[in-house]
Amino acid sequence: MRGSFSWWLTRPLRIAAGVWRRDPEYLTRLGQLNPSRLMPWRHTEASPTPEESARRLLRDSRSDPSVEGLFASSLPDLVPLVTYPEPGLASAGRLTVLTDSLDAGSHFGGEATAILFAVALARHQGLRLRWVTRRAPPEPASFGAVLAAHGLDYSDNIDFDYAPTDTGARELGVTDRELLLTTSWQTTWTALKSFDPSRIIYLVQDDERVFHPAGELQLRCREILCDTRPRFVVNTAALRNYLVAGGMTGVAANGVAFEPAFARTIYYRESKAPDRKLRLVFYVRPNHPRNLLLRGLEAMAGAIQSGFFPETEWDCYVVGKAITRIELPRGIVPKIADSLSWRDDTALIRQTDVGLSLSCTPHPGYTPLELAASGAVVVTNQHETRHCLDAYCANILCVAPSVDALVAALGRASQLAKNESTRLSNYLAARIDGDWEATFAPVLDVLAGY
Amino acid sequence: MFLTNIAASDYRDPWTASFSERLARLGEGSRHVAYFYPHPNMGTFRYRVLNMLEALATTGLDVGASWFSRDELCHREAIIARADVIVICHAKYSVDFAQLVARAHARGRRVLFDIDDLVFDSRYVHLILNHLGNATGDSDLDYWFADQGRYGALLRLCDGAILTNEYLAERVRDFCDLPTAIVPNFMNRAQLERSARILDNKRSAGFARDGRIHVGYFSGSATHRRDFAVMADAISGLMDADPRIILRIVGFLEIDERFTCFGDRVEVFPMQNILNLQRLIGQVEINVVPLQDNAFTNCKSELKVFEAAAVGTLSIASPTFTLRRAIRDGETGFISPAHHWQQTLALAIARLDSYPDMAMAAAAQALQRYVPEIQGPAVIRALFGELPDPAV
Repeated sequence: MRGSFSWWLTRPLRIAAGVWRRDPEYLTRLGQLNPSRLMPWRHTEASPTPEESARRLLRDSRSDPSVEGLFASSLPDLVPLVTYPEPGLASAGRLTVLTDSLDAGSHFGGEATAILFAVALARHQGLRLRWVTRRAPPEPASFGAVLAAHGLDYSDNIDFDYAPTDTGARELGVTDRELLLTTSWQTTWTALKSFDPSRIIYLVQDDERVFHPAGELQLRCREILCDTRPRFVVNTAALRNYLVAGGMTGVAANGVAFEPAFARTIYYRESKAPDRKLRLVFYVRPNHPRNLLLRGLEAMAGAIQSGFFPETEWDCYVVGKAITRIELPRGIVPKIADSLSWRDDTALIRQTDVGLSLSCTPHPGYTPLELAASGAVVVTNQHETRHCLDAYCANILCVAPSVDALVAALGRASQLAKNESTRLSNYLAARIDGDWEATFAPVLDVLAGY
Repeated sequence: MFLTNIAASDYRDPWTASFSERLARLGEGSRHVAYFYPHPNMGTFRYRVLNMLEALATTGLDVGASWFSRDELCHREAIIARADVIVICHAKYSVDFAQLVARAHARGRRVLFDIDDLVFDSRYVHLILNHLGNATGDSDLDYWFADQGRYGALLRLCDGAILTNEYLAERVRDFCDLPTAIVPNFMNRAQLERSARILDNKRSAGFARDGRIHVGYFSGSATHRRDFAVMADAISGLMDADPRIILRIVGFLEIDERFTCFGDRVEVFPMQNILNLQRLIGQVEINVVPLQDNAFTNCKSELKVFEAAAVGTLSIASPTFTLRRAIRDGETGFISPAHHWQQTLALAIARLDSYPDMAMAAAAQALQRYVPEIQGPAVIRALFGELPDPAV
C-alpha cells in the first residue's frame, strides 16, 4: 500500500486533512514534516477576520462602540498616514514609496520590481527617493543588494523611513510636491486618506482581491481598484486585462502595464556538467495557497510514478521556504532547498532542466519566466484568462491544472529537456525582456505626461 | 585597531579668564568684536566662539576679541562701548538679549547672529522632532515651537548671520532674508597638537594594527538613533560575516538588540573630552558618519569627518551637503548613500592595504582647511565685511 501510486497520490490530501483536524497522531506519524511550517496559512486563518473581530467587539462592553472604534479595532492595518507639513526645498520634488517592509526577502519578485520601478521613476522625473515601510523598520542594505544584483548603479541618496500603523506611531513629513508610489491596496488606501489622489501611483502586481475571502477586506480592495482618481501601473498586460475585464474601473481608466524583465546577466542558460544529472525542480511557496503545493506534489508524484523522471537520470528538488521533508514514489526523497539566498536561488534556476511552477493567478508569475529565460523547460498551469504562454517562450508548457494534465505535461517536458535542438531553439526564440529600462520606458513616458 | 601608545590626557576647560580680563582684551587692538554665548560649554561654544577667537588671533590684524556669557549681559553697556561688532551665538530671544541688540544698534554697532543648526525656523519643528524621535504631544510642541520661535526672533533682530555652511545659509535667507556669511567649524590649537601627536605616532609605527577592524561611531548627543539606523543593518551584517570587525560607540547611542549577540565586539565608551576623543578616534580604522537625509541633517557641519582625518582615520559618511564636500570619495574617505553602506564598508575594509596613503591625504586635506590660520580671514570677512589690509 505504502508504495502504491494511489497512496502517493492521495498522501498530500491526507496531510492536508490531518493538519486541518490537528490530529496529533497523524502529525506525530508525519514526524519530520512540520505542518504548521508547511502550511502556515492555517495560522492566518486562526487569527480573527475583520468580521470576527467586529462581532467580538460588539459583544465586549469595554470596547469603543463607535463605528470608527470598531473599524480601527477590526481593520488595524487600515490606518491613514499621519503626516506633517515639511517645507519644500526648491531643489527637487520627492517620490515616496510606501511598502510593508524592506528586508532580505525583498530580493525576490514583486518587491524587487518595486525597487527597480521606483528608481526608474525617480530618475525619469528628477525626484529624490524616499522609501517608507509600515510593518518593520527598513533595512537599507537590502535595497542596495537588489540594485547590485541587477547591475543598477544608483548613487543618489535615499531616505529610509518607518511609519508603522500603530496608534501613536511616528508621523511622516510631506512636501507639497510629494509623489506617492504605493505597492498594495492597503498602502494605497492609507495614502488616499492623506494625499491628493492625483499624486498617487499604485503599482499593482497581483490580483490582490484573492488575498482575502469575500468580506470586508476584499470589498475595500475592490473599491481601491475601482477608484478612478489615482493612477495604476500594472505588472503585465495580462493582469491589467484581467482586472479590467473583471470590472476594475480604476485600472481601466488610469491603468498602464509593463512586462517584467529578466536580466541576461542573471537569467541565462548554464551549460550542464557531463557528470551532472538532469534536474527537475518544483518551485513553490508553501505559505502561498495560490502556489498549489499539494497539487504540485501530486503532479510530481504522478510523473515519477509514471517513470518520466528515473532516478538514474534525474535529481529532484523542491524549492520553498519552510519545507522540511517530502517523500515521493519509487523511494525518491527530493532535495529540499529551504530559504535559499537570492544568489543560490538564481544559480539553481540556471541549472534547472524541468521546472514545475503553479499558481492561481491571471499573470504568468515570475518563476516560469525566470526558468524559461534561463533555458529550462517549464510546466505551469492555466488559470482563468491565462491559457497559453507561448508568446513568452515555447518551452513553457501551460496546461490545465488537473493532475492528469500536469503529469502528462511533465512527461512531455522531460522529453523536451533532453531534445537539445528544440529546447535550444525555443530558448533562443523566447520573447522575454531582459532590460528593465526598456520595459519601464513606455510607462514612464505615460506617467510623465500627467 | 591601530596600535597607538598615546595615553589619555587631563583636560581643563579653557574658559577660565575673568570678566575683567576678557573686557580688557576686547579693548585691545584697532577693531573689536564681542561674542555672546548663553553658557560656556564643550560643544558649540568651543567651535563657534573660542575657536573663532583663536582664528582671529592668527590673522595678525590687531583685533580685540573676547567672549561673554548671558549672565554678563548686565555689563552690556561696557561691552558695547568697546565693541565694533557684536556676535550673538546660538542664543534665544530674551529681554536681556533684545536690549543688547537695541543698545548696540543705538550706538551704531553691527550685530550678527551665529548659528550652526536649523533651530530658528518653526516650520521645521515637526521635522526635527520626528528626526530626533521626540514626542509630538501638545506640551512638546509648545516647548519646541516656543524654543525655535525664540531663536528665530533673536535672529531677525540682527543685521546678518554667520553660518557653518551654504545650505544652512540658504535656510536663513529663506527665513528672514538677512545677509549671510560662512565660517565652517574647525579645530583649535589644542586639538590640532593632540591630533598631530596621534598621527605621528601612527605614521611612525607604519599604521600598525592588531588585526581587528574597529568601526567607530562617535555620537555627540543622544539624538542620533535614527541616523545610526541608516547603517545598522549593514554593519550588523558585516559583523556577522567577519569576526574581525568591532563596533566602537562613543557617547550617547541606544543601539538596538540585534547587536547584543556580538557581546564584547561592541565597545561602548562614555562621552569624552575633546582631547581624549581624538585618541579614541585615532585608534579605529573606520569612522562612520551616517545621517538621514533631510533639511535638518543637511545643515549639520562636517566636524566628525575632519576631526577623524586629523588623526589619520578615514571616514565613511552619508552624502549630505557638507559631508560630501568634506571627502574626496575614494581618495580621502568614502561617501555612502544609505543603501550602499554594506558595499562601502566592505570596500573600505578591502582597501586597508592602501590605508596609510589615504589617511595621510585625508589629514592633509583637513589641515588645509579646518585650522584657525586658514579660517581667520573668513572670520574677519564675516565680522567686518571686506578683508582689511594687514599692513593698515
